[in-house]
Amino acid sequence: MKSIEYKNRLDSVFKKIVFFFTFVSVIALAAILIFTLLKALPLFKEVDIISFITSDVWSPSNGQYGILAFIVASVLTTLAAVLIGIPIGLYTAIFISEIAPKKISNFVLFCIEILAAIPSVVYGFFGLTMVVPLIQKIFHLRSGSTLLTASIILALMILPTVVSLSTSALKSVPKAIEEGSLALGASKIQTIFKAKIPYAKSGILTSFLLGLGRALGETMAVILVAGNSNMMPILNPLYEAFLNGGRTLTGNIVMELAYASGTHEAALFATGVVLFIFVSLINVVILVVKKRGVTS
Amino acid sequence: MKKFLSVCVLCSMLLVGCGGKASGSETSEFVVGGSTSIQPLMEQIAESYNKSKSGKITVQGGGSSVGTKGAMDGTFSVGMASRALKEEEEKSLEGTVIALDGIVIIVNKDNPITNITLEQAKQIYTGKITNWKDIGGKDQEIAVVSREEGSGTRDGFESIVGFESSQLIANADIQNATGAVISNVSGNKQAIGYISMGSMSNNIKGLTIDGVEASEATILDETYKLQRPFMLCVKKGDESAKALFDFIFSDEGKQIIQEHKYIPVEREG
Repeated sequence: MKSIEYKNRLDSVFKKIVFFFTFVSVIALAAILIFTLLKALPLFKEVDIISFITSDVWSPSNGQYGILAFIVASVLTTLAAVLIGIPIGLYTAIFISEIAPKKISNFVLFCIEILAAIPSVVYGFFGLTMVVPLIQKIFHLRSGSTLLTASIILALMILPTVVSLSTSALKSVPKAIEEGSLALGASKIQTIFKAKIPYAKSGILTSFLLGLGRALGETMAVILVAGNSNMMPILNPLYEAFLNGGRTLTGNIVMELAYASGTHEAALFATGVVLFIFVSLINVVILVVKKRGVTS
Repeated sequence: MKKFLSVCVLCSMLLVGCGGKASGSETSEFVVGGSTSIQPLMEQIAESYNKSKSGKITVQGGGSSVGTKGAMDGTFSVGMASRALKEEEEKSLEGTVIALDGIVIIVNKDNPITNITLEQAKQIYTGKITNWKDIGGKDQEIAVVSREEGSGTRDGFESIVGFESSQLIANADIQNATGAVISNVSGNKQAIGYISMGSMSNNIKGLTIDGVEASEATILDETYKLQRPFMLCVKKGDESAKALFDFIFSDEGKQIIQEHKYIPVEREG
């Protein structure tokens, strides 16, 4: 017979194993961060950090490293992707959780999940062969590889995140809220928009922010459709920025890493550090939103 | 319990597998470095050479100028350059052409243009000509497609056509792979791009340059202008790379060059 002592020992061994495996991800994060920082460091012997972020001239062969153009392109495409993706995603979530019959909502949810499983290079290739020529035709452009095209593809890619998280946020609204609202004479749509969405707002907001993070970090699909020219997006008028090509932060790293060496390589890692800071900021905001959601 | 133990063993085995030593020891005595265009070819040559002749060659990138500089100051035993040697380099280095590569300027199949001059290519890529009608095509804006900074093909193209990297038209689409350049040009009737000759495909149209079509024959007799030599250079009088050169100019070496779709040449002198 197995003694209690033996069971306790097994328990403590297992606890240690679980602890160890949990730590792997933390260590991985630390390792990546330290590695990226160390690799980026040599850049700042030659370029000061301010001009790295505020200069829009990127010309490694002339020793000029400024990533402002890429920061602007990243911010623009990400925001546009979220602006396109949010209404589609939120309304899909409302349809799935509130309006559709069970069978249809299951089917839609299934489709959304498939969308999440498609590799990003497939999105990119779809964009390159379908959306790029379409955009070129619609706007009579020199090339359909534009920031707008990238935003559209990114909007598609963040849909699964927005839809599935918003759906579960809406589904977790207590029954009493809905019943109370209906009992007070509100219509179904009024109940959804005035009672359930406000109640679930922190969950829905989190889904938007996670979508934002996904769009910011996406690479493969973007470099296939965004054109990747290293010029500063034209901000006045703003639509010109979206009708021209541009290069995002992630795109810059992937674009040039293969052949880069020395300072050039360090500049690409520094680009990664800047990206890391952006992603961290988004995550901090997510934490704040979640905390507020719990306390309110 | 047995099950539990075997799971533990399996996990630890997996972990050991993941944490394996970083590949390759850096203590090799023979380093070949330089042009990133030659790098993939050289890596395979080195692999075969190391296997059959038990050599210890390692290959590094960096670019043609890094290659010649490295060969001069002894960082590399052999420097790789995908361009002709400059005068001051020739003073201290001995260059050997091991292969030739043609670069083809490509356009969409629906583009009526069939020929271009190097001067026109330069003006298009530096933004002085922005409409196809200026070189006899349709009245459409030209969509310039180029490769990324650091790419050997870009370096080769820019140095033969004759402009600096920073002069490239700012709104040029940049792609970091030959395949991406091809799909960009095959999908856009207004696009122009350039690729290594070995990568030509049927989806796109290669332009003749000054009326000469790119082929093995026109590259060997030098009538096709947009071509570049793959050079290996050593310090003058240095004989340590003789065995490597013997291997490259052997049938086996030439076969590797052909597999990479470059044009092998006969040994000079």
